[in-house]
Amino acid sequence: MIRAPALVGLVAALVGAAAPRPAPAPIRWRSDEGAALAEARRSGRPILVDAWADWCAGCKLLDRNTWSDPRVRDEVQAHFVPLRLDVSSEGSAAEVRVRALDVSALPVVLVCSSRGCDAAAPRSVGYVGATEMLAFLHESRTRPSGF
Amino acid sequence: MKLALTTLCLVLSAFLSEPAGPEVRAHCNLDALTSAEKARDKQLVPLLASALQERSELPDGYAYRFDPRVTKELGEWLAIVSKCCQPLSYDVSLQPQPGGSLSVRITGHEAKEFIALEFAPLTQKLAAKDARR
Repeated sequence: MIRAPALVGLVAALVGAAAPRPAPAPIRWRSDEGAALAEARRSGRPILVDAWADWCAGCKLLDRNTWSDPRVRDEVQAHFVPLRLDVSSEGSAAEVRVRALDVSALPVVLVCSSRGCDAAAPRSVGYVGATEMLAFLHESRTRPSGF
Repeated sequence: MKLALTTLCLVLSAFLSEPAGPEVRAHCNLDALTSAEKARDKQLVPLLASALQERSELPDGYAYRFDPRVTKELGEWLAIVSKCCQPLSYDVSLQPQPGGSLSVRITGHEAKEFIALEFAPLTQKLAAKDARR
């Protein structure tokens, strides 16, 4: 015979399991590389760099289809410090920084170690959907490159 | 002998059907354009947008039909954008003149959404015209 408290617990567990999971929050992109690096050092998580520009169609598609995907959001929030470098303005500090990372095409996503980022960082170039991005993130976070 | 030939055929067919390498995804090349080309692109897009008569869907991209009076400008613009937006195909067709149509088919592997967004400025006037009808 099932006792009342156990029954209540069972029902609560079943209701909880059936309830829709809340969607993960949108990715909170950091814009300051120094602050992102400090956060990465504290947490031990690699930095996920998204080089973005307002004229870049592929970057907008990443926002629309890939970064908005709940699985990708979960992965990024749990395992990375997300950093967006806006290279919309030619000659900006962000553009100079991105070029120093040997970037010549957008969109590009790089995974850098918590020690920093260099031109050898693993990267995904061009527009990719959520499944392909997840595979890239899974693979590269286990061996990010750094100084 | 027969078995050896069959094995050879199978090996060869497997080798030949192997993809050449990972597909390069649609992207914009940062270093492709000079400042002069970027400025010229900004001049050409509104001009071509005014001359766009139709956009139709293709399985892997879109076909854009223009007034043939912008043939020269379309050629100039394609020379610019094809350096920047890669790896897409740009197939131009000009039917016998005078009167024949001018069109360009822009296609790419898994790039249809990219093409729609990248070349949306070309279609804005057409969309506005369609909305008024």
